Amino acid sequence: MVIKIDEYSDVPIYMQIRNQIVIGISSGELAPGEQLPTVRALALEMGINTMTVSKVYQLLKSEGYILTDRKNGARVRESISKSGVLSEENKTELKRIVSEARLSGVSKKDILKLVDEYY
Amino acid sequence: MSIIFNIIMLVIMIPCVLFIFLYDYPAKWRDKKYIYGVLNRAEFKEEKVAVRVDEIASACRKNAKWLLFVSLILMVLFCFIPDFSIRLIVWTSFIFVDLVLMFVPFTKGNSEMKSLKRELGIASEKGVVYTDLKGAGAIHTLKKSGIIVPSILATVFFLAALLNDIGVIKIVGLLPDQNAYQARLMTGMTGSLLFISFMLIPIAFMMDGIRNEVISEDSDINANYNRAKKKNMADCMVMFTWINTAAIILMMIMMCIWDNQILYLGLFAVYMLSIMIGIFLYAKRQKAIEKRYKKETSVEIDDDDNWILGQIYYNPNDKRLNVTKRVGVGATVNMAHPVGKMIGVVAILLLIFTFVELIYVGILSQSPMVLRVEDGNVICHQMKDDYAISISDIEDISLGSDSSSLKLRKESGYDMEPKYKGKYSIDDESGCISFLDLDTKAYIVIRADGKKYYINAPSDEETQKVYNEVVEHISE
Repeated sequence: MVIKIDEYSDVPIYMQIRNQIVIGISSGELAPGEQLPTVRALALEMGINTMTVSKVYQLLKSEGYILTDRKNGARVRESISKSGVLSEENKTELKRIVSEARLSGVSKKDILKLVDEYY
Repeated sequence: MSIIFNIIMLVIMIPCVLFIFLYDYPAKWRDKKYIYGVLNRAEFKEEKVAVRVDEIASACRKNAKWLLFVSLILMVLFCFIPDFSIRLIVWTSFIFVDLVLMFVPFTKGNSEMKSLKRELGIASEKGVVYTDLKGAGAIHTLKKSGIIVPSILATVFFLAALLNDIGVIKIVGLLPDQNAYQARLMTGMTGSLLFISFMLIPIAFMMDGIRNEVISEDSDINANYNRAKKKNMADCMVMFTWINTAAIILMMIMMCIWDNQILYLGLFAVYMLSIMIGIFLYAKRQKAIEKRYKKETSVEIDDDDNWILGQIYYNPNDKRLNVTKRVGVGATVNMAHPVGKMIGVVAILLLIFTFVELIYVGILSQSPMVLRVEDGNVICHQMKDDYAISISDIEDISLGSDSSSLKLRKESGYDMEPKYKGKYSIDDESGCISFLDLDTKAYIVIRADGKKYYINAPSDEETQKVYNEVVEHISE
């Protein structure tokens, strides 16, 4: 799975990595139980600080997407808990995206088509 | 010796300039990944733009061809410089200057390509980094044993030479009259080559741990591409280490059988040639890998702006020290990294030091070696007073008539044909002090303070005069 980070983006680097890993897990590019690189290896590979990668893994762990332990490192959780509800934060983000799309003249049908594609 | 020196320089330089020309100034730019350090892209292949790129590429190649031609002619001419010291200085300066000059058309091409990009409104993706999560830190091809074993073997041979030198052991099969000079030379030669082997170890590991490139959305393609590249590099490093070890072993065997410096230099020439062939093979395989994966490349990262003149990587946002080179083969350092900055400063200081040293040696080689008797001392002077031999300490003095018949071998000091100054093995006697200009036939041999001095002045008459003065002082 290829991760793209933009150092000049408004989104913090750790959040860019986190978001793409979540997308990867959701799309199946990162399979359940799949081993993730070590903090050091990923930091070296990306040319970023190890603390940033560590923060990503901590965040993903707290959100229940990955498991970390000293022996096996980080890996994607075999079963991710399905609450069945969208978080308030994501709802707000979705509202913003839909609003911007409507203002740009994008039809509801097209938005739903995209949702279908990404789901 | 002089011919062998020319051969060594030609063996080093001709492949180097040819390699730079063929690798950095390709005739066809369309199928290359970079054009003068600028990422090759679809926009460049559009009809009108392609004409411009053609013009830039052919102008740079033409200039490089001229530089190559002039370089080759100069190299041949340098072989005919009669004064060895001048020739050495010219060759050494030429290596630095020519290697820089050969890149001048390249930097011009880089600057023109960047201008073209700006004209076309193409913005560089500065600050964008792609990483393949599956390959991160997982692709290594260097087998530790492959590089450690030959280094251990080389160390064993070096230790044998060292122990033989300090008299702890005696290697069976040595020349019957092997002297201290021969043993010292063996230690020095094997030690220098071993040092190179030791330098190769961290470089090999560094290259093996270099960041993986992302060329495709498909992780398997990325993994295979990076594995192939790293394998090529690892094989090359292992081969260099084995060449080094073989050179150490052969050097020792030769030194045990023949006492001939020309043969040693011949072996060194073969060693350099082997290294050049190794680099050529590496480049050939690298080219094949790039060709093989070109069709599968779907991700192309444009970080042209991070490459100064298309060759120097400077990216303060990148925490990595080493990155794959854009031009040529191997890796380079991020000059924005603190260690990269240190390496840059050290390299510049070394360059300055080399040139200062060259100028000093050049002046020294042209300065006369003067002898004079002053305040009861024999003063040996060349730019400064090198030796002062107290006449009262002289135990024995004699005058020789044919300095060219002396068998001189440097142990430490200065060796610029025909001037020899420093600690030398003379006629198989180790630890003698030489202050000789072999253009002068006459020479004085003085034994004082437990040392043996071989000295002379710029002419036979002056040497004779100093000899007479000293003898007179002694008799008084």
